[in-house]
Amino acid sequence: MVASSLQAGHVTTVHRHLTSKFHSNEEMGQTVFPLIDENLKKNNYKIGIENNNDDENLQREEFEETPLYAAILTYLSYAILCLFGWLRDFLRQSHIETKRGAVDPNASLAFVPLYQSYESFYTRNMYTRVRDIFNRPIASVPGAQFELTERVSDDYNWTYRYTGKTISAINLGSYNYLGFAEKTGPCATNAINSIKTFGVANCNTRTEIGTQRYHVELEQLLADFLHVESSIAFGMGFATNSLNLPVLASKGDLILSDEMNHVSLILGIRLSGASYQTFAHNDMKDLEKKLRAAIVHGHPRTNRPWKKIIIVVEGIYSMEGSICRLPELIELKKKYKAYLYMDEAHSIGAMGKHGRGIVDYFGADTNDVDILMGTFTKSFASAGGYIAGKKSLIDYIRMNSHANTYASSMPAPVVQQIISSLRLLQGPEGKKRIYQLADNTRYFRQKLVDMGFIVYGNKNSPVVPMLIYMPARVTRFNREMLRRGIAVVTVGFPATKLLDARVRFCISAAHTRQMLDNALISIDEVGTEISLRYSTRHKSRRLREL
Amino acid sequence: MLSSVRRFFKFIHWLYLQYLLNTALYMLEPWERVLFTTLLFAIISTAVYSALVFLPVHVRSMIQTYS
Repeated sequence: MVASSLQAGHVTTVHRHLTSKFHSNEEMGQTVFPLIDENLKKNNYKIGIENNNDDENLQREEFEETPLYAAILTYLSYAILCLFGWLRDFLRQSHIETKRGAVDPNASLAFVPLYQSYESFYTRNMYTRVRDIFNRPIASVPGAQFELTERVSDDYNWTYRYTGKTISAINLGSYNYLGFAEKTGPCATNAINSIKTFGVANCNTRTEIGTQRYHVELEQLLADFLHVESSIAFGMGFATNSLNLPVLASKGDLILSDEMNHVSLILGIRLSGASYQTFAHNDMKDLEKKLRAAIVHGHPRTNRPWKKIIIVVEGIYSMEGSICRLPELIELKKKYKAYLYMDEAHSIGAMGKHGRGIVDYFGADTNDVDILMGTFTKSFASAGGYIAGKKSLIDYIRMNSHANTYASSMPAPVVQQIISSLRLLQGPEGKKRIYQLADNTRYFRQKLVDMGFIVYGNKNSPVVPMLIYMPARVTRFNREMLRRGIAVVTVGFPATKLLDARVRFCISAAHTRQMLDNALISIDEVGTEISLRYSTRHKSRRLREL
Repeated sequence: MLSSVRRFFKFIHWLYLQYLLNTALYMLEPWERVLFTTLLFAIISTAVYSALVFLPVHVRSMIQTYS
C-alpha cells in the first residue's frame, strides 16, 4: 500500500507502510539518519551501501522554499538590470555608443526587425556583462583536476583575449560521474588501439555498410548489462531522444511528460505530432489525475480514446537533482495500461548497486519499464545515446528511426571507450568506483546541508544543485571559486526559472576526499562572504564547527 | 589597535560588497555604478532633507488641530 503526503515546504516523501520504523509522517524536518552518518564517518564503503535499500531513504528529497527576502532582492536586481539595459539600448540606438552585438543589416531599410524578443535584450544587457563565467574553454581532459584556458576581456566581455596561460582547477562541473574521463588507463589504451585497427570514421550510416563488429558488440554488451533483451546505440544523446520519440509516438497518442524534462525530450515530443500534457514535477497524484482524465475523456473534441499513452520521465533531473518515483510510476502504468519511457542520461552508471541506473537503485524489474533510454556522455566518458528494451521494440526502432538510417555510425574510439568502461564497470574496479561515487555524494551533500545552504534533490543523486538566487551573487560565486582554484558551473535565467539561479556541482568518483574538502572550504569561505546561507530548516554553521 | 581598525575597514568593504551584490551593481560598469549611486543618494538625501525641514512644522500643526 502506498501513501504519499505532500506537506508545506515541498518535502515530499512516500512511505511504503503507513507506520515507519524510523520516524513518523511529520518529522521530516531532520535530515540526518544517525546510522548513515556514523558509517560515513567510518568511511566504510560496504556498510554505507547496504543501508541504501530502505524505502524511506531512497525517495527522500528536499526542495526548500525560496526565502522571501531572496525573492525580493532577485526581482530588484533584475529590475535594476532592466533599467540599465534600457538606458544602454537607448544610448546604442541614438548612436552615442557603438553597437557591439549582432547588428541587423536591413534595419535601416525599413525591414521588419530581426531581433525583437526579450531574449536578445537579455543576451545583450545581462548575459554579456558576465559572459566570462559561462562557456569557458578547457585545455585538458576533464578529469577530477583539469586546466582551463585563461581569457581576459578589456571591453566588458564583448571580446576576449587569450593570454596563453592555463589555470589548474578542481573540476566540479563535468559529468564525469564514474571518473572514466582519463587519458591513461585501459579505456584510453583500448580506444587508441581501436583507431589502429578500424580507423577513425566509418563514412556511412548504420544501414549502409556502416555497422562494424564493435557496434554489434556494444549493443549486445549493453543489453546484457541492463538485463534487457536488446538495445540500439546512436551517435548523439540529444538525437536519441528527439529522433526516436517520433518513432514511438504519433498523432493520436498522448504523451504525459514531467514539467522539468530536458529539451531533447520536449523536442522529440513536439516533433512526434502526438498530443502532450505536462504533470507537476514528480507529483504522482497529478499524474494519476491526468491519466484518469485522459482515459475517461479521450481526445479533446471528439472524445475518441487515445491510441496509446506514454509517460516520459527522467531518471535523475539534472537541474533539480531529484530522482523519479519509479515504484509508483510502475504501479500507475500497470493500473492504467500506459507505457513508460525513462531517460537515464545522468543516472546510468551512477546510481544503483551495480550501476544499472534507477531500476537497480529501486530494485525494480527491468521488464516493467518499457523503454529505457540513456546516454554514454556522462558516466561512460564517451559520446552517444542508446535505447534498450524488448527485441520487438528495438527491431522496430532500427527500421524506422531517422537516427539510425541517416546519422553516421559511431566511430571506433568512441565505441571502444564505452565497451572498455562497461567491461570495467562489471568487474571489481567498477564496484570500487560506484561505491566511491556514492560515498563522495553523500559526504558532500551532507556537509553542504549542514552548513546551512539550500540544496535541492535526493540525498543520493550525484548532481548537487545549490541555490544562489541573485544574478550578482552567482557571478561573484563563480569568479571567487575560480580564483580559489575550483571550477563550477553556475546556471541562470533561461536554463532555470528567473528566481532560481543556482550552482550545480557534479560529484565524480575520481574526486578524492582531499579535493572535496578543499572545495568545501572554498564554498564555506565564499558562502560566508556573499551570504549564501539561506536555509531556515538547517542551522547555518561554519565548516570548522562541523 | 591596528587589527581592529583593519577589521573595521574590512567590515565596510563587506557592506559595500553586499550593496553591490544585492542591487546587481556588481555586474555593471563603473560609470553605471556611479550613476545609480548618485541617483540613489540624491533621492535619499532629498527625502531626509524634506523630513528634517517639514516634519516639525507639520507635526506641530497636527497637534494644534487635533487638541
